[in-house]
Amino acid sequence: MIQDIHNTNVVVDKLITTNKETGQQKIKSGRFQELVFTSPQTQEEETITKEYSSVSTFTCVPVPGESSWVFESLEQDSENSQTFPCPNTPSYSSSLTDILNPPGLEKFNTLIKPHIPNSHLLSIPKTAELFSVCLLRIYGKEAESLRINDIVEVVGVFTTQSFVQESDNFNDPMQDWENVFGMSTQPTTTSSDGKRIITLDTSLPTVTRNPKTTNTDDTREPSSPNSHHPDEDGTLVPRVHAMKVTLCSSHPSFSASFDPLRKFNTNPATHGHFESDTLFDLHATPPPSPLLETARHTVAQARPVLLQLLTQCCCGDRLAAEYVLMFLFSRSVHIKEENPIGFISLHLSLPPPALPRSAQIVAALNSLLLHLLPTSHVQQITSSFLNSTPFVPSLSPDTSRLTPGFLQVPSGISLLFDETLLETPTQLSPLAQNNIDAVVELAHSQVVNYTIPFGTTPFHADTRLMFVSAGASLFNCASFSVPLVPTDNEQNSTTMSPNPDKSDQHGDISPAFLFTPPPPLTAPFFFASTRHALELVRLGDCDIHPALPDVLTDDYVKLRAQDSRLGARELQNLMNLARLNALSHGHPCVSVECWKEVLRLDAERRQRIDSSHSQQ
Amino acid sequence: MEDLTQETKDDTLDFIAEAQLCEEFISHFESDPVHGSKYEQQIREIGNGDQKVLSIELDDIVAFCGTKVNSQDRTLPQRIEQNVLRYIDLFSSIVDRKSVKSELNSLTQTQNTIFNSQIDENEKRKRELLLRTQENPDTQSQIPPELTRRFNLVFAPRKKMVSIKMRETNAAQIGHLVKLRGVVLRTTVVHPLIQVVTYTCSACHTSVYQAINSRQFIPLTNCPSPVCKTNKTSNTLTLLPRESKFVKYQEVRLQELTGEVPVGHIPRHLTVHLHGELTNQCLPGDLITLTGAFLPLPATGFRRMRMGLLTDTYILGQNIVVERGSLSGKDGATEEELTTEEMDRAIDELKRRQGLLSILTASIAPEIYGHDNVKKAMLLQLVGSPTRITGDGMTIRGDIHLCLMGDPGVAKSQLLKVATTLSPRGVYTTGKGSTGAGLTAAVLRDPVTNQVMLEGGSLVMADNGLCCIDEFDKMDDADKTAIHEVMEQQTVSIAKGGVNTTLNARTAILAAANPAAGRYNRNRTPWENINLPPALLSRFDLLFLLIDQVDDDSDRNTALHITTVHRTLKAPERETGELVSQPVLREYINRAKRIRPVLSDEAAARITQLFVDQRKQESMVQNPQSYTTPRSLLAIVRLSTAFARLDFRTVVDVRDVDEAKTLVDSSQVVLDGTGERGGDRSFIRSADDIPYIIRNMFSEKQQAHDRRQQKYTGSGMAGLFNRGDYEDEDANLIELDDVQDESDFDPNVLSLATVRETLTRRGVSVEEFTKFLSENKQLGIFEINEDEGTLSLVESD
Repeated sequence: MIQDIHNTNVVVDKLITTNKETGQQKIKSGRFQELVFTSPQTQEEETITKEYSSVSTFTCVPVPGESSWVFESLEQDSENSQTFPCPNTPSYSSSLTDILNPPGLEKFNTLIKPHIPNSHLLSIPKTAELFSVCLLRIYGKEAESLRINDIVEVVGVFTTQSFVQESDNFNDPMQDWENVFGMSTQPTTTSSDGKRIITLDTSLPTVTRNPKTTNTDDTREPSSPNSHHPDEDGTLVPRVHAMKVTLCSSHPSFSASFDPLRKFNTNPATHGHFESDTLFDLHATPPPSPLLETARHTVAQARPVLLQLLTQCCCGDRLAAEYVLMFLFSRSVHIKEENPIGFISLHLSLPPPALPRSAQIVAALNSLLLHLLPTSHVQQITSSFLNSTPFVPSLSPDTSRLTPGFLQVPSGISLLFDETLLETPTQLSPLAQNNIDAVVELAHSQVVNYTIPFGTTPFHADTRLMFVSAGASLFNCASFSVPLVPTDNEQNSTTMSPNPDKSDQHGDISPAFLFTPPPPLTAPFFFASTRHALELVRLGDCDIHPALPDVLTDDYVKLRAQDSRLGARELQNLMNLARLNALSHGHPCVSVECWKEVLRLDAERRQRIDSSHSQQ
Repeated sequence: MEDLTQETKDDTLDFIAEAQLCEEFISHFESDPVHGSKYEQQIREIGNGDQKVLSIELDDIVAFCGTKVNSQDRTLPQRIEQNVLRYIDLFSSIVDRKSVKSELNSLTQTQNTIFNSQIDENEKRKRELLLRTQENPDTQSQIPPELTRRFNLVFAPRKKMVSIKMRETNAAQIGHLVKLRGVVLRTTVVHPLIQVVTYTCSACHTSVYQAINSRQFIPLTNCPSPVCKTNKTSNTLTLLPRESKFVKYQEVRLQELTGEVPVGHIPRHLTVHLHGELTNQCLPGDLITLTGAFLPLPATGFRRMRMGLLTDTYILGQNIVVERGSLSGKDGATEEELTTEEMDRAIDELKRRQGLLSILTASIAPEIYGHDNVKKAMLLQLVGSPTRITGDGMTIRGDIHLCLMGDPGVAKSQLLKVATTLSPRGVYTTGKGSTGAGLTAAVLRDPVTNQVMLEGGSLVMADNGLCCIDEFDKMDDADKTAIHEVMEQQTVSIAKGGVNTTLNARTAILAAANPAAGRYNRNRTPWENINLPPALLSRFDLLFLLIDQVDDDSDRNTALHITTVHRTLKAPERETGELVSQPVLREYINRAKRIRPVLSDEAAARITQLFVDQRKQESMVQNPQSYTTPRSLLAIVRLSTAFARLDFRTVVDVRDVDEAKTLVDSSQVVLDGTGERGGDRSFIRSADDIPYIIRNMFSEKQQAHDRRQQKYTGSGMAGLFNRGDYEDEDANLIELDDVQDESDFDPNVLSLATVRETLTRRGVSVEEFTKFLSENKQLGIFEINEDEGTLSLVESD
């Protein structure tokens, strides 16, 4: 995932020199490498043409909250990969973690990882794995179509350092900057017939410096206070010089089923020219119809099973399970000059008797989400977490770097906020207040306002938010709040626990608790097919039945006459819910039946809220 | 007009001919035949020491070259724009030659008037150098021309030069003159930058000069004179700071305008180097239009190794114009665009249209239905009225303050955001404050210099603009206190951290607030619903209540709108034929703000009469719904003046006063019409009154708490203030037996049981109380802790 975009730099794209004596021409380029060319331009050589090109630098991090099955899917794809069109080129269909760990790099990993600057680390931790960071360099103007938080697949030249092997060329600090460019012999050779051959050194460079001292501060020159360069924070931050970049409209794990959505640009290096790389803007590309039809059919078939699983997770509460099921299909569609549509946020309110089992419920929900969604993350909300972790990314005026926040997440991620451990009363700092405001803004309008000097800049998001709390939610911003009413007994709940004896003991729940689906559902193909279909249907279009507007209008007028608190926002939420209900049934459009069913569910939910207050 | 953006090929350029052409321009260009050569005159001023910057306007070069027959001569402006540094050197050398004569004359005059012993050592030294240069031209090569140069040559851009976006600067523009807009992020202190280093040799007493053209240099150690070379002496050079030349140097960090940042990107930053008189022209937060040479910034030392083949870029500043525009840059109103014929024509056409006021009103946020009077008031607020300064120095504000109060979901926030985009300098913030500086200002310590510095809050940043404050009722206590001063005196006084100063906050305030109980309670009076202190309320010129009323037609429209958006996935098309586009509207407002209308005698008499009548009317009513104060009178004056401004009139007439009064009355009608039952407190027992009852309980508890604290503090028993101290206190408030835990002593916490009991005594049923708790979850009026069974006030940090 692209975490930060740096200022564009310039690089010598093409340098043609001719030998005055022999007339032989050499073509050199500064692309695809970090090393400064070691051999200077000789007296006999004369520069004929020098062209500059823009190079964009991105800070990339592994996709936050990525489910483990994504890696398995990628490995499987890599084995059966036919997607890479260049037979002579090594094939990679891998995530950043794979790129950062090519064969033979083990000895470097020990060097790289301990020296990763903290500013690169995203707030969401990844289980049992240290985050890595990588600088991605893309040549040409087309890279400007890439956005922050995009997920990209990259094939390119991997380097780990930018030091020169011979530092004699840099004795004179007054040397004209142009001489630093263009002095190249390493990547260029000339064949016997005078035809130019461009070879790119993809082998790992030899580190001649003492590795122990390469990252220490004393080797760094004090940088200009106002200058900004990605290398300033860490010398050994690995880099990938992109030769092929694929922008993923969805998650890369869907490569097998998403072939029509994935386009690869041609590899310029293999064609021996330096035309700009081409990026295909796949933002908001809908899935093709045949795939969608199949996916809808699969979802319709899987719905009862999913509902059964979710009901188990929700302690037998069918109503809550219905809402969670619809929540899985939530997707925010941003429309110009209008509020985004198609998304809901959900709040499950646990009654005090269910509190001892709250950890089980959260763990079961999280486990199921991880099985079904490519990116999902559960976060325990505590006062210390709220008071210390910035949720909103901010742009530092000193370094021009984007400091990540908790809410800098990829599109489509599901965030489950576990508020059951929140202390009461809670002492909130101003940062915590800002964090809460950011979550409220995200839940209402799917926008995260990144902090920049002298203001904010809005970033559209597609983040699914679910809150689980005992009683009221601290955030109090969900579209729908469902009081959970457990209907199963303690005995039934043991089916969710690998250790029933232990889970029954209040307050002594194993942290390693994992959801284990019932035996008939553990077949891998169920989840494999369902999650692909679910994501396809989620991204697909959903029409409105022509009869619905009239019915909806009449219903709204009646509802509002009964309760004036039902405003435009509540109607929008109900409409979104009807849309998700239709998707969960595999319907291509929102029918009147879907709308009526949503009204029924909402009436039941409201009745439950009223009764829960009466009991109090 | 020829296209100046064409690429030119200077492969066959004759340098001598080019220098001659430039010299010819300097010598013979006349903007005004009476005063002779424009630049020769300036060179004389430089020679006399009266001028330090020679700004060569590219428009002059365009005009000069337009008369040339030779096609290559005609493209000189393009060549300058594509290779700025080279032409700065070229023009500087020409001016050097011309200025030597006038400078020598100046020095001769100085010598005649001042005794030799009093002549400054530097002047003597300079005179010697100039004489040597004049007498023996061969020695000029040894003396860097920068040493004797007393001016800074810059190029002023063409007026029609188009600004580019910061992210459009790329490798192809290196060396070119670029013009772009941005917000100044940070400025460094102005430092002396060494330009020529002068040494003296202790062996042969020769002066040695070293011109510095890069960011770093290595000082010379060996004397290059033939004598020392022959004698092989070394380390004889001594650096002479007084003989060296320094120029003022400042680095500025520029941030891309947020209006120019594409979706999904963050603003970019660019470094700007400023020399000489261009320094200290802008401050952090300023919106500037910068023209300069786009250049690479080669790294040095180890950083160069790390940079590898890459290089940073910077802009060498040539011209800076500080704008008073919106920080987002969305106004897009550069100087050139303001004077375009299209804009002039559009404004003229708009002025001639019938029903201008209605058209302008409808053009504000057309996507929000209704609220015509509110939009009209917003229009008047954007236009404002001029600030008056009386003869004794008293200032009467001209900014119009407006408050929108109403139910959640009636598009208050959207109206505020629209106003922010329409104002030339609009800042949107919430009452809680989005920055550390809050609404007013904060004293911070600079992490780099460790010096105490002031950071302006939203109100200070909106100086000469509009500050939109959402959630006005949830403001911090400190800001609530400070806003009184901001709204009337239009200043922010700071006295903390050793800093005692006053900042300007000449801003109009557009506030949005929720009623006291979260939703508007029709069974209460408007003033009970509004729940703002009278001192604050009286400072608003207009107050509008926006109430979410159940209406069949509007409800159907809402439902239809939502289904249309879901069906088409785009906003419904609106009738925009009559409406004015945002840029034209913004420009219209900008131009109207320049008018300074004065009250006519008739208008003044009318206002006086209205004021007297209103006061008399209120004195006859027992419980008036409004209070007319001198502030109300000033509000009418401001609104009338704004009406006149909108019509581009310089005199406020009676019609304007009537229109202003109508607008004020329209807001009063809403206020009067909503209170159906009035403020009969003996009637309290409805479910809608629950929040008021609870608030009363809190205030009573607070008063009792204060009384106790005062008593025990006075008797020196503050430390003994514990449960036992309640024995002789108001037993009705908290019975001693009811005290269960420490929360009962907290004046901000009430137990739910106590609340329920009190409400039951007041006639509120259990069902109504349950319903209130349910509503409270959505509205967040009170904070309810169900575990502890307590209810507390929501605090805004």
